[in-house]
Amino acid sequence: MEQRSPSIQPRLYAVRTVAGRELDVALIIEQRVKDENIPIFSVIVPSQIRGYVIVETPAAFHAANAIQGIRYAKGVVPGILRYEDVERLLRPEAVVETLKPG
Amino acid sequence: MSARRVRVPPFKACRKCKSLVPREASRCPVCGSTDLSEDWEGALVVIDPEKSVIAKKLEITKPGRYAIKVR
Ligand SMILES: [Zn+2]
Repeated sequence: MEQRSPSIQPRLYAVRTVAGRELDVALIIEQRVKDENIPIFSVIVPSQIRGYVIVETPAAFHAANAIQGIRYAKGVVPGILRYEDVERLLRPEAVVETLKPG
Repeated sequence: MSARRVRVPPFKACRKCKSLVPREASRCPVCGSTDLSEDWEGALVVIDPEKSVIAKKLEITKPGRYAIKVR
């Protein structure tokens, strides 16, 4: 019910992973979100940046919660990502970009 | 652990709807297409399309796993 509130806008957080295990981490997060009802709405595995997945959630602690104990996940990067930067990563023709948390 | 090692992804991608489908599938379970590709990059896991701003921007309305780039 709290999720109905319009004030809970999702934000984008980067999660560091072991390089090459990005998809594994995303799939484990997906499973946990479903099992434990964690408010994470999407997970992005950018092809241009190794060692990160991006989690869309109202608050960083949900991301931290979802990756707890995953061996290939190394923690949530402080700061939020800008939607326009992440959208660029989702364009198939995208070139290499740098993540700019803040 | 080498960062350069190549891992075979457990999925193929549908060229029509971009869904990631099991490697052994011959038909996309989402749209029915048989045009599946082993050559794809990047992934988007949409869990709650109603609440996901990313899903809305990409006009994705169904939960699922999608490839970002399919060749
Ligand atoms: Zn399809």
